[in-house]
Amino acid sequence: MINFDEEIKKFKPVLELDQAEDAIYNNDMKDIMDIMQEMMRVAKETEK
Amino acid sequence: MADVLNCKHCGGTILVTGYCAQCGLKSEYVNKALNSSKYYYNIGLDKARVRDMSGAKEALKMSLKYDKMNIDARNLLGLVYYETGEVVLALSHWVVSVNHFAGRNVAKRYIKEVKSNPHKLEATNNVARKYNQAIELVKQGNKDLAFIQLRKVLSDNNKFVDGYLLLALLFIDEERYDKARKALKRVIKIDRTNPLAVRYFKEMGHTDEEIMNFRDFPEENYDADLLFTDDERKGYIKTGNIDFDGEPIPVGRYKDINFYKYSIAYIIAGIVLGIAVTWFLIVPHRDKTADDESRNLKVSFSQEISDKNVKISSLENDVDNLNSDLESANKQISDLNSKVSAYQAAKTQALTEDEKVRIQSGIKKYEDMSYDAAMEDFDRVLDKNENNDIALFYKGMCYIKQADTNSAKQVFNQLVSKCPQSVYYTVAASYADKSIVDAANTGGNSSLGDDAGTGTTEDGTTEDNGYSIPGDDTEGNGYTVPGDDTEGNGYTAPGADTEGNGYTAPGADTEGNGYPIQDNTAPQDGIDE
Repeated sequence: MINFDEEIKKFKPVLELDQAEDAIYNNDMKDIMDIMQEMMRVAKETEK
Repeated sequence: MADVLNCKHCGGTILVTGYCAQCGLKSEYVNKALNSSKYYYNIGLDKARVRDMSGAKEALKMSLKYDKMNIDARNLLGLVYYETGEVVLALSHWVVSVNHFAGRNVAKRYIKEVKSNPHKLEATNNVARKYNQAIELVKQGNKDLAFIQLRKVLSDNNKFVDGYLLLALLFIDEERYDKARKALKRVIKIDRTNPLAVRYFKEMGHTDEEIMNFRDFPEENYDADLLFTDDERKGYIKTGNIDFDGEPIPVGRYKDINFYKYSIAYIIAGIVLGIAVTWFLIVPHRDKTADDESRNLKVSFSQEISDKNVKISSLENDVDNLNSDLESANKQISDLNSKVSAYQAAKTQALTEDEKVRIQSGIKKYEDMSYDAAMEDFDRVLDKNENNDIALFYKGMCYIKQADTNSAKQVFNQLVSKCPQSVYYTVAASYADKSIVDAANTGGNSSLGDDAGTGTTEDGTTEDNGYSIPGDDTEGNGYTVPGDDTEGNGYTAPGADTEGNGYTAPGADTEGNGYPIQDNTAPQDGIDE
Protein backbone atom coordinates (compact mmCIF):
# COMPACT_ATOMS: atom_id res chain seq x y z
CA MET A 1 0.00 0.00 0.00
CA ILE A 2 1.27 3.39 -0.86
CA ASN A 3 2.03 5.63 2.08
CA PHE A 4 1.48 9.07 0.77
CA ASP A 5 3.63 10.82 3.32
CA GLU A 6 6.50 8.47 2.77
CA GLU A 7 6.16 8.73 -0.96
CA ILE A 8 6.06 12.46 -0.99
CA LYS A 9 9.40 12.56 0.77
CA LYS A 10 10.93 10.96 -2.27
CA PHE A 11 10.06 13.92 -4.42
CA LYS A 12 12.94 16.39 -4.36
CA PRO A 13 12.80 19.90 -5.71
CA VAL A 14 14.29 20.29 -9.15
CA LEU A 15 16.90 22.91 -9.95
CA GLU A 16 15.68 26.27 -11.12
CA LEU A 17 17.50 28.32 -13.72
CA ASP A 18 19.17 30.70 -11.28
CA GLN A 19 20.52 27.68 -9.41
CA ALA A 20 22.20 26.25 -12.48
CA GLU A 21 25.38 28.23 -11.98
CA ASP A 22 25.82 26.89 -8.47
CA ALA A 23 25.07 23.38 -9.66
CA ILE A 24 27.77 23.65 -12.29
CA TYR A 25 30.40 25.08 -9.96
CA ASN A 26 29.57 22.51 -7.30
CA ASN A 27 29.76 19.64 -9.76
CA ASP A 28 32.65 17.99 -8.03
CA MET A 29 31.86 14.49 -9.07
CA LYS A 30 34.85 12.21 -8.69
CA ASP A 31 35.43 9.25 -10.90
CA ILE A 32 37.22 6.08 -9.96
CA MET A 33 40.58 7.42 -11.11
CA ASP A 34 40.27 10.38 -8.76
CA ILE A 35 39.56 7.93 -5.98
CA MET A 36 42.60 5.83 -6.86
CA GLN A 37 44.80 8.91 -6.91
CA GLU A 38 43.43 9.91 -3.54
CA MET A 39 44.08 6.43 -2.16
CA MET A 40 47.67 6.50 -3.43
CA ARG A 41 48.19 9.94 -1.97
CA VAL A 42 46.89 8.81 1.41
CA ALA A 43 48.97 5.65 1.29
CA LYS A 44 52.14 7.65 0.56
CA GLU A 45 51.38 9.99 3.39
CA THR A 46 50.90 7.09 5.81
CA GLU A 47 54.17 5.56 4.67
CA LYS A 48 55.94 8.80 5.49
CA MET B 1 51.98 -0.24 -28.72
CA ALA B 2 52.09 3.50 -28.83
CA ASP B 3 48.96 3.74 -26.75
CA VAL B 4 50.61 2.20 -23.74
CA LEU B 5 53.34 4.70 -23.69
CA ASN B 6 51.09 7.54 -22.60
CA CYS B 7 48.61 7.57 -19.80
CA LYS B 8 45.03 7.70 -21.11
CA HIS B 9 43.99 9.61 -18.05
CA CYS B 10 46.53 12.45 -17.93
CA GLY B 11 48.68 11.90 -21.05
CA GLY B 12 51.81 11.35 -19.00
CA THR B 13 54.53 8.83 -19.77
CA ILE B 14 53.99 5.23 -18.73
CA LEU B 15 56.92 3.88 -16.83
CA VAL B 16 58.32 0.35 -17.13
CA THR B 17 56.54 -0.56 -13.96
CA GLY B 18 53.26 0.22 -15.70
CA TYR B 19 52.54 3.33 -13.67
CA CYS B 20 52.11 6.78 -15.05
CA ALA B 21 54.97 9.09 -14.23
CA GLN B 22 52.63 12.04 -13.97
CA CYS B 23 49.43 10.90 -12.27
CA GLY B 24 50.90 7.80 -10.64
CA LEU B 25 48.02 5.57 -11.72
CA LYS B 26 48.64 2.17 -13.06
CA SER B 27 47.79 2.11 -16.72
CA GLU B 28 46.07 -1.21 -16.40
CA TYR B 29 43.59 0.24 -13.93
CA VAL B 30 43.13 3.31 -16.00
CA ASN B 31 42.31 1.25 -19.04
CA LYS B 32 39.98 -0.86 -17.01
CA ALA B 33 38.15 2.19 -15.72
CA LEU B 34 37.88 3.68 -19.20
CA ASN B 35 36.55 0.44 -20.61
CA SER B 36 34.01 0.19 -17.81
CA SER B 37 32.93 3.74 -18.51
CA LYS B 38 32.43 2.96 -22.16
CA TYR B 39 30.60 -0.22 -21.25
CA TYR B 40 28.09 1.63 -19.12
CA TYR B 41 27.82 4.34 -21.73
CA ASN B 42 26.79 1.72 -24.26
CA ILE B 43 24.23 0.36 -21.86
CA GLY B 44 22.92 3.84 -21.22
CA LEU B 45 22.74 4.50 -24.93
CA ASP B 46 20.80 1.31 -25.54
CA LYS B 47 18.34 2.14 -22.77
CA ALA B 48 17.89 5.67 -23.99
CA ARG B 49 17.10 4.36 -27.46
CA VAL B 50 14.22 2.29 -26.07
CA ARG B 51 13.12 5.24 -23.94
CA ASP B 52 14.21 3.59 -20.71
CA MET B 53 15.20 6.89 -19.31
CA SER B 54 15.61 5.78 -15.73
CA GLY B 55 17.86 2.89 -16.75
CA ALA B 56 19.80 5.17 -19.07
CA LYS B 57 20.32 7.66 -16.30
CA GLU B 58 21.71 5.00 -13.99
CA ALA B 59 23.99 3.54 -16.64
CA LEU B 60 25.28 6.93 -17.72
CA LYS B 61 25.88 8.00 -14.16
CA MET B 62 27.83 4.83 -13.68
CA SER B 63 29.79 5.55 -16.83
CA LEU B 64 30.70 8.97 -15.49
CA LYS B 65 31.77 7.45 -12.21
CA TYR B 66 34.37 5.44 -14.07
CA ASP B 67 35.43 8.32 -16.27
CA LYS B 68 34.11 11.78 -15.62
CA MET B 69 35.80 12.94 -18.83
CA ASN B 70 33.54 10.74 -20.95
CA ILE B 71 32.01 13.48 -23.02
CA ASP B 72 29.55 11.28 -24.87
CA ALA B 73 28.18 9.85 -21.66
CA ARG B 74 27.79 13.31 -20.15
CA ASN B 75 26.09 14.72 -23.21
CA LEU B 76 23.71 11.76 -23.38
CA LEU B 77 22.91 12.10 -19.70
CA GLY B 78 22.05 15.77 -20.28
CA LEU B 79 19.83 14.74 -23.16
CA VAL B 80 18.02 12.21 -21.00
CA TYR B 81 17.47 14.83 -18.32
CA TYR B 82 16.16 17.22 -20.97
CA GLU B 83 13.75 14.59 -22.26
CA THR B 84 12.33 13.95 -18.82
CA GLY B 85 11.78 17.66 -18.28
CA GLU B 86 14.75 18.41 -16.05
CA VAL B 87 16.19 21.14 -18.26
CA VAL B 88 18.40 22.78 -15.66
CA LEU B 89 20.18 19.52 -14.91
CA ALA B 90 20.59 18.92 -18.61
CA LEU B 91 22.11 22.36 -19.07
CA SER B 92 24.51 21.88 -16.21
CA HIS B 93 25.81 18.61 -17.69
CA TRP B 94 26.20 20.16 -21.12
CA VAL B 95 28.06 23.14 -19.71
CA VAL B 96 30.45 20.83 -17.82
CA SER B 97 30.87 18.82 -21.01
CA VAL B 98 31.83 21.92 -22.99
CA ASN B 99 34.17 22.91 -20.18
CA HIS B 100 35.96 19.56 -20.39
CA PHE B 101 36.16 19.51 -24.16
CA ALA B 102 35.73 22.74 -26.09
CA GLY B 103 36.31 21.20 -29.52
CA ARG B 104 33.61 19.68 -31.67
CA ASN B 105 31.16 19.07 -28.87
CA VAL B 106 27.47 18.50 -29.55
CA ALA B 107 26.70 20.05 -26.17
CA LYS B 108 27.43 23.47 -27.69
CA ARG B 109 24.53 22.99 -30.09
CA TYR B 110 22.25 21.80 -27.30
CA ILE B 111 23.03 24.86 -25.18
CA LYS B 112 22.57 27.16 -28.13
CA GLU B 113 19.20 25.69 -29.01
CA VAL B 114 17.93 25.97 -25.44
CA LYS B 115 19.15 29.54 -25.04
CA SER B 116 18.01 30.65 -28.49
CA ASN B 117 14.39 30.70 -27.38
CA PRO B 118 14.18 32.98 -24.33
CA HIS B 119 10.45 32.43 -24.00
CA LYS B 120 10.85 28.69 -23.78
CA LEU B 121 13.73 29.02 -21.35
CA GLU B 122 11.60 31.26 -19.14
CA ALA B 123 8.73 28.79 -19.39
CA THR B 124 11.11 26.00 -18.36
CA ASN B 125 12.17 28.01 -15.35
CA ASN B 126 8.52 28.60 -14.44
CA VAL B 127 7.88 24.87 -14.67
CA ALA B 128 10.63 24.15 -12.18
CA ARG B 129 9.47 26.90 -9.84
CA LYS B 130 5.82 25.83 -9.89
CA TYR B 131 6.74 22.17 -9.45
CA ASN B 132 8.73 23.05 -6.36
CA GLN B 133 5.79 25.11 -5.11
CA ALA B 134 3.49 22.15 -5.72
CA ILE B 135 5.74 19.93 -3.64
CA GLU B 136 5.67 22.44 -0.81
CA LEU B 137 1.90 22.78 -1.08
CA VAL B 138 1.42 19.02 -0.93
CA LYS B 139 3.64 18.82 2.10
CA GLN B 140 1.56 21.59 3.69
CA GLY B 141 -1.67 19.71 2.89
CA ASN B 142 -2.92 22.18 0.23
CA LYS B 143 -3.61 19.55 -2.38
CA ASP B 144 -6.10 21.65 -4.34
CA LEU B 145 -3.52 24.38 -4.85
CA ALA B 146 -0.99 21.71 -5.69
CA PHE B 147 -3.33 20.41 -8.39
CA ILE B 148 -3.57 23.90 -9.84
CA GLN B 149 0.17 24.34 -9.89
CA LEU B 150 0.70 20.91 -11.41
CA ARG B 151 -1.82 21.65 -14.09
CA LYS B 152 0.19 24.74 -15.04
CA VAL B 153 3.41 22.75 -14.86
CA LEU B 154 2.22 19.98 -17.15
CA SER B 155 0.59 22.43 -19.54
CA ASP B 156 3.96 24.14 -20.01
CA ASN B 157 6.00 20.94 -20.15
CA ASN B 158 4.09 17.81 -21.02
CA LYS B 159 7.18 15.60 -20.67
CA PHE B 160 7.92 16.45 -17.08
CA VAL B 161 8.04 12.96 -15.55
CA ASP B 162 8.31 14.07 -11.94
CA GLY B 163 5.23 16.22 -12.38
CA TYR B 164 3.19 13.31 -13.71
CA LEU B 165 4.40 11.09 -10.87
CA LEU B 166 3.44 13.66 -8.25
CA LEU B 167 0.06 14.09 -9.90
CA ALA B 168 -0.46 10.33 -9.96
CA LEU B 169 0.40 10.16 -6.30
CA LEU B 170 -2.18 12.85 -5.53
CA PHE B 171 -4.83 11.02 -7.57
CA ILE B 172 -4.04 7.76 -5.83
CA ASP B 173 -4.31 9.50 -2.51
CA GLU B 174 -7.76 10.72 -3.51
CA GLU B 175 -8.55 7.26 -4.85
CA ARG B 176 -9.04 8.57 -8.35
CA TYR B 177 -7.22 5.70 -9.88
CA ASP B 178 -8.36 6.32 -13.42
CA LYS B 179 -6.71 9.68 -13.39
CA ALA B 180 -3.66 8.29 -11.71
CA ARG B 181 -3.55 5.59 -14.34
CA LYS B 182 -3.62 8.12 -17.14
CA ALA B 183 -0.83 10.09 -15.55
CA LEU B 184 1.26 6.96 -15.08
CA LYS B 185 0.64 5.89 -18.64
CA ARG B 186 2.14 9.13 -19.79
CA VAL B 187 5.08 8.57 -17.51
CA ILE B 188 5.86 5.19 -18.96
CA LYS B 189 5.45 6.59 -22.44
CA ILE B 190 8.30 8.96 -21.70
CA ASP B 191 10.23 6.65 -19.43
CA ARG B 192 9.29 3.03 -20.12
CA THR B 193 10.81 1.58 -16.99
CA ASN B 194 10.26 4.34 -14.56
CA PRO B 195 10.43 2.41 -11.30
CA LEU B 196 8.06 4.69 -9.44
CA ALA B 197 5.43 4.44 -12.14
CA VAL B 198 5.75 0.69 -12.26
CA ARG B 199 5.40 0.54 -8.52
CA TYR B 200 2.31 2.72 -8.54
CA PHE B 201 0.78 0.57 -11.26
CA LYS B 202 1.38 -2.49 -9.16
CA GLU B 203 -0.06 -0.80 -6.13
CA MET B 204 -3.21 -0.17 -8.14
CA GLY B 205 -3.46 -3.86 -8.90
CA HIS B 206 -2.05 -4.00 -12.41
CA THR B 207 -0.05 -7.02 -13.37
CA ASP B 208 3.29 -6.93 -15.11
CA GLU B 209 1.59 -7.99 -18.32
CA GLU B 210 -0.80 -5.09 -18.14
CA ILE B 211 2.06 -2.76 -17.43
CA MET B 212 3.86 -4.17 -20.44
CA ASN B 213 0.77 -3.48 -22.53
CA PHE B 214 0.61 0.08 -21.25
CA ARG B 215 4.24 0.41 -22.09
CA ASP B 216 4.06 -1.10 -25.57
CA PHE B 217 0.87 0.67 -26.61
CA PRO B 218 1.11 4.09 -25.06
CA GLU B 219 -1.55 6.64 -25.73
CA GLU B 220 -0.69 9.40 -28.19
CA ASN B 221 -2.40 12.27 -26.48
CA TYR B 222 -0.26 14.34 -24.18
CA ASP B 223 -2.77 17.09 -23.42
CA ALA B 224 -2.33 17.72 -19.73
CA ASP B 225 -5.76 19.32 -19.40
CA LEU B 226 -7.36 15.95 -20.03
CA LEU B 227 -5.97 14.81 -16.73
CA PHE B 228 -7.88 17.52 -14.88
CA THR B 229 -11.24 17.44 -16.66
CA ASP B 230 -14.14 15.74 -15.00
CA ASP B 231 -15.13 12.68 -16.97
CA GLU B 232 -18.74 12.71 -15.68
CA ARG B 233 -19.32 16.22 -16.89
CA LYS B 234 -17.85 15.44 -20.27
CA GLY B 235 -20.40 12.69 -20.89
CA TYR B 236 -23.20 14.79 -22.33
CA ILE B 237 -24.84 12.05 -24.41
CA LYS B 238 -25.14 8.98 -22.28
CA THR B 239 -22.92 9.18 -19.29
CA GLY B 240 -23.80 5.70 -18.21
CA ASN B 241 -22.26 4.16 -21.32
CA ILE B 242 -18.89 5.85 -20.94
CA ASP B 243 -16.04 3.62 -20.00
CA PHE B 244 -14.04 5.75 -17.64
CA ASP B 245 -11.33 3.18 -17.46
CA GLY B 246 -10.94 2.96 -21.20
CA GLU B 247 -8.86 4.95 -23.58
CA PRO B 248 -9.37 8.68 -23.41
CA ILE B 249 -10.94 10.36 -26.40
CA PRO B 250 -8.31 12.46 -28.10
CA VAL B 251 -9.48 16.04 -28.46
CA GLY B 252 -6.35 17.64 -29.71
CA ARG B 253 -2.66 17.88 -29.27
CA TYR B 254 -0.73 20.41 -27.36
CA LYS B 255 1.71 22.24 -29.52
CA ASP B 256 4.38 24.64 -28.59
CA ILE B 257 3.67 28.11 -29.74
CA ASN B 258 5.97 29.08 -32.53
CA PHE B 259 6.80 32.58 -31.44
CA TYR B 260 8.86 33.25 -34.53
CA LYS B 261 5.99 32.45 -36.81
CA TYR B 262 3.69 34.66 -34.80
CA SER B 263 6.32 37.34 -34.65
CA ILE B 264 6.32 37.53 -38.44
CA ALA B 265 2.53 37.66 -38.35
CA TYR B 266 2.68 40.45 -35.78
CA ILE B 267 5.16 42.37 -37.94
CA ILE B 268 2.94 42.02 -40.99
CA ALA B 269 -0.10 43.03 -38.96
CA GLY B 270 1.83 46.03 -37.62
CA ILE B 271 2.82 47.09 -41.12
CA VAL B 272 -0.77 46.77 -42.32
CA LEU B 273 -1.99 48.70 -39.30
CA GLY B 274 0.62 51.39 -39.91
CA ILE B 275 -0.41 51.71 -43.55
CA ALA B 276 -4.05 51.89 -42.52
CA VAL B 277 -3.34 54.58 -39.94
CA THR B 278 -1.30 56.50 -42.50
CA TRP B 279 -4.04 56.14 -45.09
CA PHE B 280 -7.01 56.96 -42.90
CA LEU B 281 -5.55 59.45 -40.43
CA ILE B 282 -2.39 61.10 -41.69
CA VAL B 283 -3.22 61.45 -45.39
CA PRO B 284 -6.66 63.06 -44.81
CA HIS B 285 -5.14 65.42 -42.27
CA ARG B 286 -2.43 66.36 -44.73
CA ASP B 287 -5.03 66.86 -47.48
CA LYS B 288 -7.12 68.98 -45.14
CA THR B 289 -4.09 71.08 -44.32
CA ALA B 290 -3.35 71.54 -48.00
CA ASP B 291 -6.99 72.50 -48.66
CA ASP B 292 -6.88 75.03 -45.84
CA GLU B 293 -3.68 76.49 -47.19
CA SER B 294 -5.11 76.75 -50.71
CA ARG B 295 -8.31 78.29 -49.32
CA ASN B 296 -6.36 80.85 -47.33
CA LEU B 297 -4.29 81.55 -50.41
CA LYS B 298 -7.43 82.06 -52.48
CA VAL B 299 -8.88 84.40 -49.85
CA SER B 300 -5.69 86.45 -49.71
CA PHE B 301 -5.53 86.59 -53.51
CA SER B 302 -9.19 87.60 -53.69
CA GLN B 303 -8.59 90.38 -51.20
CA GLU B 304 -5.56 91.50 -53.14
CA ILE B 305 -7.54 91.44 -56.38
CA SER B 306 -10.36 93.46 -54.80
CA ASP B 307 -7.83 95.98 -53.49
CA LYS B 308 -6.32 96.21 -56.95
CA ASN B 309 -9.75 96.66 -58.49
CA VAL B 310 -10.52 99.49 -56.07
CA LYS B 311 -7.21 101.07 -56.89
CA ILE B 312 -7.87 100.63 -60.62
CA SER B 313 -11.28 102.27 -60.30
CA SER B 314 -9.78 105.19 -58.38
CA LEU B 315 -7.08 105.51 -61.00
CA GLU B 316 -9.72 105.44 -63.73
CA ASN B 317 -11.54 108.23 -61.93
CA ASP B 318 -8.28 110.11 -61.75
CA VAL B 319 -7.79 109.52 -65.45
CA ASP B 320 -11.29 110.83 -66.16
CA ASN B 321 -10.64 113.89 -64.02
CA LEU B 322 -7.34 114.45 -65.74
CA ASN B 323 -8.99 114.06 -69.13
CA SER B 324 -11.61 116.59 -68.19
CA ASP B 325 -8.85 118.87 -66.89
CA LEU B 326 -7.00 118.28 -70.13
CA GLU B 327 -10.07 119.18 -72.13
CA SER B 328 -10.57 122.34 -70.12
CA ALA B 329 -6.88 123.11 -70.45
CA ASN B 330 -7.09 122.52 -74.19
CA LYS B 331 -10.07 124.80 -74.31
CA GLN B 332 -8.16 127.44 -72.40
CA ILE B 333 -5.20 126.90 -74.70
CA SER B 334 -7.42 127.37 -77.73
CA ASP B 335 -8.90 130.49 -76.17
CA LEU B 336 -5.47 131.78 -75.33
CA ASN B 337 -4.29 130.90 -78.83
CA SER B 338 -7.16 132.84 -80.33
CA LYS B 339 -6.35 135.72 -78.04
CA VAL B 340 -2.70 135.45 -78.91
CA SER B 341 -3.55 135.41 -82.60
CA ALA B 342 -5.74 138.43 -82.08
CA TYR B 343 -2.98 140.05 -80.16
CA GLN B 344 -0.53 139.25 -82.90
CA ALA B 345 -2.92 140.67 -85.43
CA ALA B 346 -3.32 143.77 -83.37
CA LYS B 347 0.35 143.97 -82.79
CA THR B 348 0.91 144.09 -86.54
CA GLN B 349 -1.09 147.26 -86.50
CA ALA B 350 1.03 148.79 -83.84
CA LEU B 351 2.27 152.12 -84.93
CA THR B 352 5.61 153.67 -84.62
CA GLU B 353 6.05 157.05 -82.97
CA ASP B 354 6.39 158.66 -86.33
CA GLU B 355 3.17 157.11 -87.55
CA LYS B 356 1.37 158.16 -84.39
CA VAL B 357 2.53 161.68 -84.93
CA ARG B 358 1.41 161.57 -88.55
CA ILE B 359 -1.99 160.19 -87.53
CA GLN B 360 -2.38 163.01 -84.99
CA SER B 361 -1.23 165.40 -87.55
CA GLY B 362 -3.68 164.00 -90.07
CA ILE B 363 -6.50 164.12 -87.57
CA LYS B 364 -5.58 167.71 -86.70
CA LYS B 365 -5.61 168.58 -90.41
CA TYR B 366 -8.91 166.75 -90.79
CA GLU B 367 -10.39 168.78 -87.98
CA ASP B 368 -9.00 171.87 -89.63
CA MET B 369 -10.76 170.64 -92.73
CA SER B 370 -7.48 170.39 -94.64
CA TYR B 371 -8.58 167.12 -96.09
CA ASP B 372 -6.00 166.71 -98.79
CA ALA B 373 -3.16 167.39 -96.42
CA ALA B 374 -4.76 165.10 -93.92
CA MET B 375 -5.06 162.31 -96.51
CA GLU B 376 -1.41 162.71 -97.37
CA ASP B 377 -0.53 161.99 -93.78
CA PHE B 378 -2.87 159.06 -93.67
CA ASP B 379 -1.54 157.69 -96.96
CA ARG B 380 1.96 157.84 -95.66
CA VAL B 381 0.86 155.85 -92.63
CA LEU B 382 -1.01 153.41 -94.82
CA ASP B 383 2.04 152.95 -97.05
CA LYS B 384 3.76 151.28 -94.14
CA ASN B 385 0.70 149.91 -92.39
CA GLU B 386 -2.02 149.54 -94.96
CA ASN B 387 -4.55 148.11 -92.54
CA ASN B 388 -4.34 150.76 -89.87
CA ASP B 389 -7.97 151.33 -89.01
CA ILE B 390 -7.49 154.90 -87.74
CA ALA B 391 -5.77 156.01 -90.91
CA LEU B 392 -8.33 154.20 -93.02
CA PHE B 393 -11.24 155.64 -91.04
CA TYR B 394 -10.08 159.23 -91.24
CA LYS B 395 -9.08 158.82 -94.83
CA GLY B 396 -12.59 157.59 -95.58
CA MET B 397 -14.03 160.49 -93.61
CA CYS B 398 -11.87 162.89 -95.64
CA TYR B 399 -13.38 161.43 -98.78
CA ILE B 400 -16.82 161.85 -97.24
CA LYS B 401 -16.10 165.45 -96.44
CA GLN B 402 -14.91 165.90 -100.01
CA ALA B 403 -18.12 164.21 -101.17
CA ASP B 404 -16.14 161.49 -102.88
CA THR B 405 -18.36 158.67 -101.70
CA ASN B 406 -16.96 156.06 -104.04
CA SER B 407 -13.47 156.51 -102.80
CA ALA B 408 -14.82 156.70 -99.25
CA LYS B 409 -16.70 153.41 -99.76
CA GLN B 410 -13.57 151.70 -101.03
CA VAL B 411 -11.66 152.87 -97.99
CA PHE B 412 -14.42 151.80 -95.62
CA ASN B 413 -14.77 148.51 -97.45
CA GLN B 414 -11.08 147.92 -96.81
CA LEU B 415 -11.51 148.88 -93.14
CA VAL B 416 -14.53 146.60 -92.71
CA SER B 417 -12.84 143.68 -94.38
CA LYS B 418 -9.41 144.08 -92.85
CA CYS B 419 -10.22 145.43 -89.42
CA PRO B 420 -13.42 143.80 -88.22
CA GLN B 421 -12.53 144.38 -84.63
CA SER B 422 -11.88 148.06 -84.99
CA VAL B 423 -13.86 150.59 -82.94
CA TYR B 424 -14.55 152.29 -86.22
CA TYR B 425 -16.09 149.19 -87.64
CA THR B 426 -19.68 150.16 -86.99
CA VAL B 427 -19.33 153.57 -88.51
CA ALA B 428 -17.32 152.19 -91.37
CA ALA B 429 -19.88 149.48 -91.97
CA SER B 430 -22.52 152.16 -92.44
CA TYR B 431 -20.58 153.52 -95.39
CA ALA B 432 -19.23 150.29 -96.77
CA ASP B 433 -20.89 148.00 -99.26
CA LYS B 434 -23.43 145.66 -97.69
CA SER B 435 -21.91 142.62 -99.35
CA ILE B 436 -18.57 143.42 -97.82
CA VAL B 437 -20.17 143.85 -94.43
CA ASP B 438 -22.02 140.54 -94.78
CA ALA B 439 -18.87 138.80 -95.87
CA ALA B 440 -17.03 140.25 -92.88
CA ASN B 441 -19.81 139.13 -90.53
CA THR B 442 -19.92 135.59 -91.90
CA GLY B 443 -16.16 135.44 -91.77
CA GLY B 444 -16.24 134.81 -88.04
CA ASN B 445 -17.12 138.27 -86.84
CA SER B 446 -20.82 137.83 -86.56
CA SER B 447 -20.85 139.28 -83.09
CA LEU B 448 -19.84 142.55 -84.64
CA GLY B 449 -22.68 142.42 -87.04
CA ASP B 450 -25.09 141.99 -84.15
CA ASP B 451 -23.64 145.08 -82.61
CA ALA B 452 -24.14 143.88 -79.14
CA GLY B 453 -21.69 146.30 -77.71
CA THR B 454 -22.11 149.34 -79.82
CA GLY B 455 -25.84 149.27 -80.36
CA THR B 456 -25.36 150.43 -83.94
CA THR B 457 -27.76 149.09 -86.52
CA GLU B 458 -27.01 148.27 -90.06
CA ASP B 459 -28.88 151.14 -91.51
CA GLY B 460 -26.82 153.67 -89.63
CA THR B 461 -29.47 154.60 -87.17
CA THR B 462 -28.35 155.03 -83.67
CA GLU B 463 -29.78 153.58 -80.57
CA ASP B 464 -29.35 154.55 -77.00
CA ASN B 465 -25.86 153.29 -76.81
CA GLY B 466 -24.00 156.60 -76.64
CA TYR B 467 -22.42 156.14 -80.02
CA SER B 468 -23.04 158.13 -83.21
CA ILE B 469 -21.50 158.67 -86.47
CA PRO B 470 -19.01 161.48 -86.70
CA GLY B 471 -20.35 164.93 -86.63
CA ASP B 472 -23.75 163.92 -85.35
CA ASP B 473 -23.69 164.08 -81.63
CA THR B 474 -27.45 164.15 -81.51
CA GLU B 475 -27.88 162.46 -78.23
CA GLY B 476 -25.87 164.71 -75.96
CA ASN B 477 -24.04 161.77 -74.44
CA GLY B 478 -20.68 163.38 -74.36
CA TYR B 479 -19.31 161.42 -77.23
CA THR B 480 -18.70 162.94 -80.52
CA VAL B 481 -17.04 161.82 -83.58
CA PRO B 482 -14.39 164.01 -85.03
CA GLY B 483 -15.79 167.30 -85.96
CA ASP B 484 -17.66 167.63 -82.73
CA ASP B 485 -15.10 169.00 -80.45
CA THR B 486 -17.04 169.09 -77.21
CA GLU B 487 -14.05 169.60 -75.06
CA GLY B 488 -12.57 172.45 -76.98
CA ASN B 489 -9.28 170.63 -77.61
CA GLY B 490 -10.00 169.93 -81.20
CA TYR B 491 -9.98 166.15 -80.76
CA THR B 492 -12.41 163.90 -79.14
CA ALA B 493 -12.35 160.18 -79.06
CA PRO B 494 -14.13 157.49 -77.01
CA GLY B 495 -12.72 157.12 -73.57
CA ALA B 496 -10.12 159.17 -71.80
CA ASP B 497 -6.90 160.42 -73.22
CA THR B 498 -4.67 158.50 -70.88
CA GLU B 499 -1.49 159.33 -72.62
CA GLY B 500 -2.04 163.05 -72.75
CA ASN B 501 -1.38 162.94 -76.47
CA GLY B 502 -4.85 164.02 -77.40
CA TYR B 503 -5.72 160.53 -78.63
CA THR B 504 -7.67 157.93 -76.81
CA ALA B 505 -9.22 154.68 -77.88
CA PRO B 506 -11.96 152.64 -76.33
CA GLY B 507 -10.75 150.54 -73.44
CA ALA B 508 -7.44 150.70 -71.70
CA ASP B 509 -4.14 151.18 -73.39
CA THR B 510 -2.46 148.28 -71.80
CA GLU B 511 0.66 148.39 -73.84
CA GLY B 512 1.34 152.08 -73.34
CA ASN B 513 1.70 152.53 -77.06
CA GLY B 514 -1.45 154.57 -77.40
CA TYR B 515 -3.24 151.67 -78.98
CA PRO B 516 -5.43 149.50 -76.80
CA ILE B 517 -6.20 145.82 -77.23
CA GLN B 518 -9.46 145.50 -79.04
CA ASP B 519 -12.46 144.49 -77.03
CA ASN B 520 -15.47 145.08 -79.16
CA THR B 521 -17.82 143.76 -76.54
CA ALA B 522 -17.42 146.92 -74.45
CA PRO B 523 -16.10 149.72 -76.60
CA GLN B 524 -18.34 152.26 -74.94
CA ASP B 525 -16.61 152.06 -71.56
CA GLY B 526 -16.03 155.62 -70.54
CA ILE B 527 -17.70 156.90 -73.67
CA ASP B 528 -21.06 157.69 -72.17
CA GLU B 529 -19.40 159.64 -69.51
